[in-house]
Amino acid sequence: MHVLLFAPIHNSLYARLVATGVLEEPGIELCGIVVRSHWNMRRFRAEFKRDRGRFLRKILNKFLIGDERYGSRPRDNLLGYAREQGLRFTSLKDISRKWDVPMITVSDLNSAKSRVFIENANPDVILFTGGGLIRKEVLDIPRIGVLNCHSGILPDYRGMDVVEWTAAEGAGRSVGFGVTQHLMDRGVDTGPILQKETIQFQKEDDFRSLREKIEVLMAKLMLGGLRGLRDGSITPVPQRLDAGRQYYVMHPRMMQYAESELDQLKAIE
Amino acid sequence: MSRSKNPIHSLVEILARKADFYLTPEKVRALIEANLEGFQRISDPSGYVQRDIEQIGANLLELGWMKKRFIFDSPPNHASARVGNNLDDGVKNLQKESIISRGIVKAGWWRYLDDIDRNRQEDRRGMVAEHMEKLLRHVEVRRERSLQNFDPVLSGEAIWFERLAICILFSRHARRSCDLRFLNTSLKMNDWYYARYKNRRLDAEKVRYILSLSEQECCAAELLA
Repeated sequence: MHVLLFAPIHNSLYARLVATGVLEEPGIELCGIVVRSHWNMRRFRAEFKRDRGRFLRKILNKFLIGDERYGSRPRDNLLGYAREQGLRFTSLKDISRKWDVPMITVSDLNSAKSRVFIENANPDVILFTGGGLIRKEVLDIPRIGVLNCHSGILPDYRGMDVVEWTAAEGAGRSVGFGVTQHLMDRGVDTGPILQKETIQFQKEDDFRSLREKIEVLMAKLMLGGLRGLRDGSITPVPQRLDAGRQYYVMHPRMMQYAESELDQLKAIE
Repeated sequence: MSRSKNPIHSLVEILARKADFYLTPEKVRALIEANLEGFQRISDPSGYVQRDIEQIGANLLELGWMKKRFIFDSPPNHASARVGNNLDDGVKNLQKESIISRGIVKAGWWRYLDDIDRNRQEDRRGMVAEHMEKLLRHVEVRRERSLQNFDPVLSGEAIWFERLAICILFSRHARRSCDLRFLNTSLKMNDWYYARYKNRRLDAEKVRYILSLSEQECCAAELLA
């Protein structure tokens, strides 16, 4: 099986974990890596207008602090998982050089340059670890499709800030916090589902630690789902479009409410 | 360098907080209360502005921010402010066409949705939900650039009133359907429109914004309690 990787930045820890996981997997070949370049003023302006402070914090964490943003906190985060897995590479460029995997950097994953690269690589599956919306022209290239791990339980919680929305709507126990692996289609988190899994939350958890646990699960499910497709043991199941709702970026007042609901949920546990 | 001692981290955090402007509950209340005295002096032969003010008053009574109703210097003209909504026409329109299509919003149709939603017609709940979902998605995707194009075409002030009417509809629908997503969006809309509110010249425009804030607060008091 030929697999191509989409990544949002060169040093994405999630992308590195997935890439090295793929490289170590028998019967699967990493045939290309496409990284989205962040150094684009138009993109900066658009993302800042949309996300404001959140965007600035994202830039800080991903570009300036990098892996160290996990600090010295143990294990239930991607850095701890990366250490467990013995991840040695600090960037996708290193992986590309070491394993001779073709790699390009593009301003847009849907660009003509990207599409030509993908078509030449001829992947069966593309693994999406970030980098923006994917258009139909790209979704249609790989034989099986584009795999994504969504940080919420589908079909119930589609869209943005779904960890927080799960808490705000009091669904922390009924639906749960977790990850859904699905094939991407033109809708928002509406594609066929391969697998989903919830995480256990502890009294000490806040949204940050929940997200960190979810990130680890995303890395595990991404590789697990890929193995399932390789072996034929997983069959994607279409979602009913009317079965869930789409959620959007939370207003700060709504976020405060979600935090109080999470506190209440932990008090019950 | 540890994160806590990193000056870049501190600088980014300061900038991020400045960028994350939003109207706090305290600021909203102060804004509303600062306008109350002036409202009672407004003379409005058409009755529309006073109708909005009366609704603000009702909302503030509900919130417990006011102890008694507004007393206007000039009595409100209810007769001319009565809007002749034909509910059946509204239902037919909404069954035939979407309230929004290709980014163009049907001007005034928010009234139909508000009426049907308010009357809690069970057999039409699905239809209301579908139109509201489309409006919600449009506003959330386009954000500050949403609700710019209307059919029929509207002029500057009319667009302001229409946008706020939809924002008010979102607050009301959130309460009626217990759907926090609509309150979430009305909170954002009122934040976006705050800068423009400060530049409004006409009493009617300012009153409509304050009404939108009061509807938002009634909704927040109920759903975020």
